[in-house]
This record gives sequence, structure tokens and C-alpha cells, in this order.
Amino acid sequence: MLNYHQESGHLISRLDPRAKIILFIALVIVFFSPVHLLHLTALTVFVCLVSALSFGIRRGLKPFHSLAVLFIMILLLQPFFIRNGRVLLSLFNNFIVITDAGLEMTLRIVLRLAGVSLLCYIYFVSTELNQFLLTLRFFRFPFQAALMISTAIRYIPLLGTAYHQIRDSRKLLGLSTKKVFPALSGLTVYAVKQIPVLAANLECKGVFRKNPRSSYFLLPGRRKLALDMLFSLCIIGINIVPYLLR
Amino acid sequence: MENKTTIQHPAFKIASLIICTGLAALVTALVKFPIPKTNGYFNFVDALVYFTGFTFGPLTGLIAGGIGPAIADIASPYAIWAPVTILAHGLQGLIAGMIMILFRKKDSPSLIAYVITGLIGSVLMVGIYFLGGSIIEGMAVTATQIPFNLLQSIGGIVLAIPLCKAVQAAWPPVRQYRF
Repeated sequence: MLNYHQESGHLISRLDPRAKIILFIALVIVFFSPVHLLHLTALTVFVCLVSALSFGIRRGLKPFHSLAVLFIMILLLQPFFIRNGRVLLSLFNNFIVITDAGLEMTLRIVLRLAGVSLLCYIYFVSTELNQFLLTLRFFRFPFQAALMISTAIRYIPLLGTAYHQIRDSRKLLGLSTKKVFPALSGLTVYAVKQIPVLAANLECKGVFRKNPRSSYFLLPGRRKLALDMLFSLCIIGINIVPYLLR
Repeated sequence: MENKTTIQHPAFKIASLIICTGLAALVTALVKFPIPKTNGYFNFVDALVYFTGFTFGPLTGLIAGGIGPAIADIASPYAIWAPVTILAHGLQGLIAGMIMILFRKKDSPSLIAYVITGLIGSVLMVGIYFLGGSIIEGMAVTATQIPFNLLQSIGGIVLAIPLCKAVQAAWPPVRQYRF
């Protein structure tokens, strides 16, 4: 879990995380906008190509493995749900109707789901957690909120190890490991007992001091940010300008 | 043993939020109960969200209940659901905490309090997932998920009650961790 980040020399990994997050949010907005179906298809293909070329076909298109069942369900159920538009197929005395509007909406949903899921995946594969949190801080995300999220993420492996240890100890005692509740309550007790320890550590680290904080990690300088921002704005422009000129 | 002033320190509140968020994320991603002969599974996130609201109060319920499962969504191929998850589970935790405040006079809340929490929490969670899912994956597919979401939420409240009692019995100071 959350061991997403993969070192890669490709453009998407080298892009400044601040420029990347703006580009990705803009593309998510385009995916949810009423753009032409061909535009949506081209954008989805583009995102797939970027992912496959950056991380390899197998890893780059990994999210589709989990989403495949959902895609099939959408393709099977959604076309019958919309009855307006030109009728293409009618069965059982108009009980089941497939229209062009229904087919278009189904395609839109599948393309949007594929595109946005892959965009999120690309962002987290190509961005280190530290960079992501520094990006949030750059956009005035409160320090305590960033601290909370980053520390919570760092605690997940510790709690995961504790959960497996609890299950293993139950196995050694000859108790059933299929019953999830005893292990869950054990894990919750263990986690709650960590609260005073963590609170003391946070106090020792001076988390609530008023003096300015230093950071081990810094995002790249302004020149790189400006160049990457320009690149991002170009891609956003390609997607938006045709609609603005209409 | 920590006293009242220490517990009310901001570091203690942040520590509670961190642990509850991490726990909620882990439980969403790891602790699963497979549904036989299907590809699906139930997870125990609702039980954890209700537990957080009951034990730590509405604010921790809202923040940890919303962000924890959203982190798990972001770490999976279902990242598109993260905003919906924040809203649905965050409000679930908020409701759980608020109802416990209403019934705080008694040492241990009555069954009615749990039933009300379960009803409001389930309706909110299922409603928000339905609205969000309709935009993301279309109304047809989202409608098929309503019974599973409802069952998971009701199962969550049923599990949260013994979970609260078990944790309070094993670690009595947790009764003071309400912000």
C-alpha cells in the first residue's frame, strides 16, 4: 500500500509536482466537461499512452485490471438506462431500447472513468510523497493538516505489521484466523495505546512552536517551475482553446 | 497516566487524528471479508468510522473518518472515488460523534442512540455514494451497489458497538479521549 512511487527518467516524473497537479486537475475538469466524444477518446488514449510509455505497458495500465469488472458492468447496464435519442434497437415491445444517446453516455462514462483513474495513478506513481505534501504546502495547505496526513501515511505500515502479528499469534494459539473481529479489536487497542506516545513525540519535536520550521526537502527552483508550468498550460490550452474559439 | 491538561494539548488531538486516520486507511485497504462466489468484499471501514466518532467525538470522526478511507482509495485504482469517500464517511463519523454528545449524560449510551446513529449514518453514506457514483459510473451500476453499501453500513454499526466496549475494557483511559 502506498508504495506507488517509481523512479523513472521520463518527462512525467521530471515535471515539477506543482505544475503537474495543476495540469492533472485541469485534465480532470476536461474529463467531466461536456466535450466532444472524439476529444474525450483522444484524451483517454493520450493518458494511456503517457502511462504506458512512462512506466511500461504492464505497470502503466495496471489500474484497468481492477476496473475491468466495473467497465463490463457499465457497458452491460448503462445503455438501457437512457431512453431518449434516436432508437437503434428495440426489443420486447419497446421494453428494452438502445438509443444513440444511451450509447454515447455509456462511452463517456467508461472513457471518463478510465482517464481520471489513470491520471490519479500516474500522479502518485510519478510523484514522491514528500513532493506531494510540499506541493500542498506551496498552495497554502495548513501545516498541521499536512503533518497529520504525512504522519498517518507513515503509521500505516506499522499498524499493518501489528495486524499481521496479531493474526500470527492467534494462529499459534490455535485460534481461527478467519474471524476478523478479534484481530481488528486487538489492532484497535494497539493503535489507541500509541496515541500518548505519538503525542509526546510531537511535543518533543516542537510541532506547536511558533518559530519558523526548517525542511529536509525542498521543491525545485523558480526557473524549472516556470518552464514546467508553461508546458502544463500548453497542454491545458490544447484542450480548452478549441471550445473558447467557437 | 496522562492528566486532563495533557489530553487537551493540541499535540494529543493531532496524535489522535493521526492514529485514527492511519487505522481507518489500513482497515479499508487490508481488513476485508470476501463475499463468497463473487469478486466483491465487505470491508470494516464503517465499523472503524463509527468507533472513531463514538470514542473520539465528532471532529475526529469527521476528519479521520473522511481522510483515512480516502487515503486507501487514493492508494488503489479507485482514486476517483476519494472525494465521495471523504464526504460519505466523514459525515458518518460526524453523525456518530454528535449523537454520542446528545446521549452523553448517561455513562453508556442506550441502544436507541446506536440505532439512530446507524440509521442516519447509513442513509447518508448510501445517499452520498449513490449521488457521487451516478456522476462517476452512471446510475445503472450505482443502483446495483445500494444493497451492498447498506449492508456494509448496518454491519458497521453492529460491529462498532462491541468494538467500542472491547477497546474501553482493554484500555480504560480511552474514555477521556473525546475532543
